[in-house]
This record gives sequence, C-alpha cells and structure tokens, in this order.
Amino acid sequence: MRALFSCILAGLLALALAADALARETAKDPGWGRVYTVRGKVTVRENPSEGALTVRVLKGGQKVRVDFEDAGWAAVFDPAESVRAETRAQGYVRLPELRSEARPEAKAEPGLRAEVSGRVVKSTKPDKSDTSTRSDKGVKKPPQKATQGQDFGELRVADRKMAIRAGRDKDTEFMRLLQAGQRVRVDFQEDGWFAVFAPDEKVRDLKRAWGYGRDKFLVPEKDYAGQPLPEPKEAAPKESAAKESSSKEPSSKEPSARESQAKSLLKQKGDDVVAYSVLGRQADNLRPLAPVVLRVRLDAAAPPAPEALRKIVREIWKAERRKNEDLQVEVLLPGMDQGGLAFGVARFHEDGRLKEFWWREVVLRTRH
Amino acid sequence: MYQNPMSRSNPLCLSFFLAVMFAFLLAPLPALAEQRIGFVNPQRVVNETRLGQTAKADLARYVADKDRLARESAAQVATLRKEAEAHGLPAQDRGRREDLLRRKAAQHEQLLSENARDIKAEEAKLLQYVMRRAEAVLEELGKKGGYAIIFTDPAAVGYVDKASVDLTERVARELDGRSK
Repeated sequence: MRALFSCILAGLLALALAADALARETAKDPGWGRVYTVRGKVTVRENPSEGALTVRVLKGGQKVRVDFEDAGWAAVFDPAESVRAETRAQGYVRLPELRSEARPEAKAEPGLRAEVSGRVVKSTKPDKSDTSTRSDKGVKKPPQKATQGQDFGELRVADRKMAIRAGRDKDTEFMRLLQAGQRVRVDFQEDGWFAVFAPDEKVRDLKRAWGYGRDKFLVPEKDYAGQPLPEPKEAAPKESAAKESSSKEPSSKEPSARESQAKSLLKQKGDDVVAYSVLGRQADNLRPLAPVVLRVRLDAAAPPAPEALRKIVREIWKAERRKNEDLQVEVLLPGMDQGGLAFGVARFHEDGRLKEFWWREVVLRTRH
Repeated sequence: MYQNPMSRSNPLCLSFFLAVMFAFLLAPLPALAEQRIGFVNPQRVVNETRLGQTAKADLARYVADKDRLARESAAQVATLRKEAEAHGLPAQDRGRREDLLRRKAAQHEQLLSENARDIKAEEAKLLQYVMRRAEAVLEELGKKGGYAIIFTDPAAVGYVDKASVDLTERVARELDGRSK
C-alpha cells in the first residue's frame, strides 16, 4: 500500500515538473511562426523571388523560425526572434524547398494552438480546453463541434484597410471591409488566411466567422504601429462598407489636406523606430499607367544602409498604398530639398515585393 | 588783317579736344580689363569631381539593376520558347504556349524600351544634379573673378586658351571642397 502511494506521489511530482517545464518554455517562446529544423541545404534569398540575391544558405541541423507565407515563399527568422515583423526577416525561402529540406518541430509550441493544417497560431489567453485535451505530442486538434463560452483564437489588428472575403482566396466574394487598426478575433489559419470573427465572439465555429482575411495583414496588437486603435466595434456590414470604401477612396490627383500637412507615423524596424512624414503623393495625369509617386521624409539622423532602406520602403508601401495602386516610394532625408532628387526610390510588384530599388549616394554628398 | 575768332582760340580748342579724346580712349580700359570670358567643360566636371564620380557610380548601379531585370525577362522568354517548341505537344497546348510566348515577348520588348527610357532619364537627373551644384560654384566664381561670360558648351567654343580661360579645374576644385 505504501509502495503504491509512493508511486502515485512520484508520478504526480513528475507531472508537476513536466508542467513547470512546459510553462517555462511557454514564457520563453515568442509565440508566432513555426520553427523548422533544416536537414539539407536551403537557400535564403533577399526577396521572395528566384532571381533575388542569395543572402545565406541554411545547413543541416540549423533551426529557423518561419512566417509570412505568401505565394509559395516564406520569411525566415532567427528561432529566438521575439518580434513578429517581416522587416526582421533574414530573407525568404521557397516553401517547397523548405518542406523538402526541413522538418517542422515535432513538438507543438507551448501556448500555441495547432490547426488542422499543422500551422500554429498564438493564443493570447490560456485555453483550458487545450490543456485538458492536449495529446502526448502536445498538439491539439481543433474541436469538431463549436466550443462556446470561452475565448478562442487570438485578437489581432488589421494593419491596413483590408477586405474580408467569403473564402481563402482573393477572388472570392467580398464580405466586408476592415479599417486599419480594427480589432478582430482570428483563428483557423490556413494557406495564409485567417478566419475572422467579431472580437467578442465566443463560439469557435467557422459558420459564425465574418469571412477570411490575409494573415499577414492581421498583426498582433503589440506589433501594430499605425494609427491609434479605434474602439472595438462591429465592422460595417458589407454594403455600407463597400460604399464607404468607394466614397472614401481619395482622388489620386492631388495631395489631400491630410497629406499636405506632413504627418508622422512610427514604423517598427526591428527594435528601432523609424518615423517618416509624407511630403506628397503625385499621379501623372498624362500617363495613366505611370506609378503614383509618394515622397516621404525619413526622420533619421544618418542615412539607413541600403538593406535597411529596402525594409523601410516595404513597410511604407504597406502602410501607404491605396487599393490596387501602383505606388512608387521616394525617400528623402532631413535637410534634402523637398522637390529635389530623392535618396532612395522603390517600385513594387502587386503583392508588395520589391520590383526595383535604387539609391543615390550623390545626394548625400551635398546634404545640408 | 582779319583774324577769324575761331583761329584765335585754336590752341585752346585743340588741347580740349585732345583731352576729351584721350579720356574717351582711356575710360573703357579698366572695364575691359575686368570683363573676362571663361569656359567650363561640364563633362570634365562630372569626370573629375567626387560628386560627379558618385553620380556615375549611382548610374552604374541603376543600369546594372535594369540589366538584371532585362536578363530575368529574357530568361523567361527563352523558357517559354523552349516549352512552345517542345516536341509531341497537342495542338491546343502548343497554341496556348505560343500565345503565352507572344505575350511575354511583347512584354519583354516593352521592358527593354522602358529600361532605355528610364536609364536616359536617370542619367539626365544625375547630370542635372551635379551641374546645378557646379553652376552655383560658377556663378560665384564669375562674380568674384569679374567674368562677363562663362561658356559651358564645348561646341560653342572654337578655341580656348586653357591657361587663361578654362576654369574647369577651378570649378572642380571648388565643387570638391563643398561636397562631403
């Protein structure tokens, strides 16, 4: 009897220790993306493009964190990277190459919810049902039935004005519009799309979702660096949102009063914060296919290195681009003539990848 | 004997006339000495200054990037051509691929002409940027050195005495001194 009691006690102690270890790991893990262990060689490129420069080659045994999957490419990070910002990525890898040459961590990230597809989404609040139904591998299948009366998924913020669609495809029916800074509850991440729910939704049921939104535009609140967050409220329904979108769509001709009055936005670039002000937005009326030129002034004492500047212009493009706009970003530095030659110029593909990027060191030689 | 009153005042008149003429001849000399003519070769300013060299390096980088885009596009055209010319393709499939190739080839041609236009525009922008700075130097030099005209178009000048008229080196030195 005493031996049995000792065994039970030892078992309980072991369980408590395991739970403690799990909790510690939860605290350490940044809670985003997915960690892969590389088996073969994986090429990391500067941009998500076959023609982009190779910035490094991952070798067997190396671990990387992977996120921002898009069109067959994903951004790779240091596994210890705590900030989920694409600007901190080491580069981009082709997903098929990564999947053939690397394996995801077998153990699900503690504090993370594994989805049917195997992707992971951080839970902001501990989910009791998770711990109670966690399997040996720590991976929990999503409940088949709707769960009720508890928070699920994660609260995220739209980092721009974005569409919610009926399916995980940009060609599916438009459901509603999310405003930049609007909070939503997200879950069921798959193929780069989240199912989007009302922030106060308690029932984890796809039928109750508003629709689907691109995961890369739905950022954790701590990573949101745009306009102040509006009070959480129900998004405008489909028809009025669409109307609002079209009525608010500004004319691309001349800078609005809001723009002509220089604004300052803070953008995260790793741990640094880069402020910039929009100097103007100019469309060429004679050449309808010509890009709209957005001139911004960076609030930086020293000119950023080209690599950093690439990341900065991408962030600016994300923040400033209007619907389907072919936007060319021109970056000036303090002391440069507002109408003069820009330091950095960037043109983009439709999906935000850099198409062309160049910088002019000549303007640094005569800066006041 | 009748004496013409004019002939009586002749020595006085003559000396007055000579004095006026002498003064007239001497007066423009200082002005002529101050109003000089100079010449600056813009191409040499670009080639021989740090600012110009930096602008050239910027342009070379830009051209290299444009070349990269053109090469990528050409490689895509080549791949499509190979696919369209593959043996044993069904007629429908071949037609589709040939159509794709035609469109891509047209896009490639457009890209090449756009690249050429963009490079020309960028070159003009960079040259203009350097020359504007050089013009500021030129203006100051012209005022200080008493130059009435400074030519910057080599085609407009038949002969230049480099020692006395060519200001290119002075402008280049001054421009280098002003740039970082």
